[in-house]
Amino acid sequence: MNAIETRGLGKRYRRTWAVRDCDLTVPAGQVTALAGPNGAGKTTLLRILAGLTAPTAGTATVLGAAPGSPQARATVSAIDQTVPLYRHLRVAGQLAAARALNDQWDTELAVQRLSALGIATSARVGKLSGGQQAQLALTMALARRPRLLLLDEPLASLDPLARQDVLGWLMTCVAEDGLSVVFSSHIIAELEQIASYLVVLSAGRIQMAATVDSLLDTHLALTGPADGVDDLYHQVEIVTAQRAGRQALVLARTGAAPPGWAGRPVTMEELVLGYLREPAARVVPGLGVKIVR
Amino acid sequence: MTAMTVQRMTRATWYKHRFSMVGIPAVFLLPALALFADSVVQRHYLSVHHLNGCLVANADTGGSSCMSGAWVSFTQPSPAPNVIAVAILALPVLAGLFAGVPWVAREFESGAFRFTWTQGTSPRRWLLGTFGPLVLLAAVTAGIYGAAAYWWYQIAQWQDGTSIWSWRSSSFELTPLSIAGWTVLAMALALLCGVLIRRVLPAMIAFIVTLGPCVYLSQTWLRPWLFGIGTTVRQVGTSAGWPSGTTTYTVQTWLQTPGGQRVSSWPAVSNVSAWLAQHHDTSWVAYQPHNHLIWLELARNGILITAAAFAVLASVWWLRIHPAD
Amino acid sequence: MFYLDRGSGVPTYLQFVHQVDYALRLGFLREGDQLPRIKDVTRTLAVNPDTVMKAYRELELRGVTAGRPGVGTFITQAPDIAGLKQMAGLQKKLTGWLGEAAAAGVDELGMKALFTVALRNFNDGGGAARLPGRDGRDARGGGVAGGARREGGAA
Repeated sequence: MNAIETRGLGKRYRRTWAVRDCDLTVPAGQVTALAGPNGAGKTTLLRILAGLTAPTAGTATVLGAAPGSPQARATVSAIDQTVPLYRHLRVAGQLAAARALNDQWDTELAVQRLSALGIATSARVGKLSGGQQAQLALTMALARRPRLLLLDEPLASLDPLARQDVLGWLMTCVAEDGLSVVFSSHIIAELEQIASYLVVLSAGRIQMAATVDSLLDTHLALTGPADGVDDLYHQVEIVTAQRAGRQALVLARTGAAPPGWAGRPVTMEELVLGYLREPAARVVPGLGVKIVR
Repeated sequence: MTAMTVQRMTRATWYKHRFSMVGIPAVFLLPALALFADSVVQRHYLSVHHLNGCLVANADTGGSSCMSGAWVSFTQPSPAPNVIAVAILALPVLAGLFAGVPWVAREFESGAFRFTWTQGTSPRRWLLGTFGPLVLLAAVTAGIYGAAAYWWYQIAQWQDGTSIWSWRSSSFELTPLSIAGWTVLAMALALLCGVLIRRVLPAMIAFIVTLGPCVYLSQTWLRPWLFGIGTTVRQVGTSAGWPSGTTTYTVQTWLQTPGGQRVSSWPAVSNVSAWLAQHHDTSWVAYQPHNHLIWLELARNGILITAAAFAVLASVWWLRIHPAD
Repeated sequence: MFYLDRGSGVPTYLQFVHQVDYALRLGFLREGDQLPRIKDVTRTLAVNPDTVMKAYRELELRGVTAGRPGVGTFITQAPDIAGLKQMAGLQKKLTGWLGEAAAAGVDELGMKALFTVALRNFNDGGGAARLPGRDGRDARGGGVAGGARREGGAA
């Protein structure tokens, strides 16, 4: 079963399309990074998948069920960018309300984790720091024992140590329980660390969606003479080309460097930034990894 | 919704709205207690001075004690009963405004609904499951409050300087049925405003703007229209007198000529009965007898509750087509 | 025992492979030792479990480790002592070359460039088949290539 499947998914607000023509097939068990600049449509896409917003066009399924349906609610946990909580309650009341609202609830996990984090159950949720609220939201999301977790910039308010700890915990859940994770971030270092599947969104459209391995296997960073770039366009599929004086750095989809060019494997950062610099470049899944202009 | 879910949603609602769920009963039951206590004092006064027999429509039948100073001072006209009556009726409105509107609107405004909708409950279940306990609690406590108000008004209506009439506005509205009915409608309208507008303060304004006309319409159109249904028609004059002015509601009076024609205006002569006998006209009255009052109250409040049901359905429907954003 | 070098450009799983290799050479890891469990690595380093699995699979392919289902991954062989001796000889030759280059006026960056070009030509020229641990990613030259792979013999 696929964690996420969308066909022609689109969402329009008044006259602008926040998300458009999205075709995605993300297998289960992956840690999927949703990358893209601010305003690219990551939040909208995640809200549709979480069942918070209805799409204007197209269809989507999460773990085989429609977003917002009872099966989806039972197996999918989502944390919105705004970290929604009942801020007027104390932590104990918030947990109790969450337990009342859910069929599956791992009280022990919630209690243990919160005490390990030093979050008192008598504290008022609204008075917790941003990082603590994020930790609370994450704890509750995982106490529901989901099979898919949707996170919208979840680590923004966490300090580096807390971030490492949370990522480590999430990865353990992936390893032990086969949890699928989709998280959005515009911090590429995070993506490099944990993502096994990458989706790049730009201006509401998907530029590429594929496993990190296949992307790194099929792309190379080429260095060579700046005046050779025009010829290079006929030899390999170029994503972006940057000229600096007499040298050029080219991100290309190719297996080997053509003569006259030195090739080395790309890093995730180069890959993502390269595609974001060239919004016209899109990889179409199903046809293999191709670049469509 | 299964019984398990109802129980769970109620529990979740309790955690989230604990303050209101304690506040609403308090807001209704404390004044009820005050009205009850005040009426106890008044009734004690009456029994101590043997004035209970005076509490009839026709004071002449009350006996000599109804001329006493105690009765006079008791029935000294005062604006207080009317002011209190208005205050009593304002309470359901205030409850709807300050407890009902934020119930849903605040969860939208604060964004907390994004938490609720990503747990095991759907938006529709959330709406109904969170509204159900509210309206049930409010209706029951408002009913108790209404009963206390009715019991209080039984005595207080003698003190406002106007004549007793069981079809008066205040008599009609200060009953358990009416107060509970208005409370249910207020809560339903509050829910609808909250779902439509999703910001607390604007929703409160919308609430006032929609409830106001409802009250006005009920007063000026709905009640008169209801009272005009199923009237008893009686010929006045020969043996039967006019229906009692204190227990019946006159809808229409007219004269009927021998030719069967209806005339609604009375001749301007000094001896009306002689004139009528001379012209062989008969006078008629259409009225609501006392025993119709309870049915009309049920009808009017049934309409309020039906309107409330429509408001709830409209909320659910609106929520379906505009879930988030 | 693993660590991440984020800026190096070397894929994470290869970093782990190299770190196991170094640990073997320095004697921190010996035959029969168990490598950390995947879930412990993911918890402490916050990396995708697939990455760790890939590293362990690569080590198995190279014959350095063997996995025992339900128990863990264990080191099966220590580095070849003879290989170490060969290493010493190669390093001596390299030092000599460095001395020549320095005498000719080549600076450090020049030496690195020379070596990189020579290595690339060696790879492209078919000498690649004899370069242990050869795959596209090692071509960058980061880290010592491979563990002790016995050529032409079963591990």
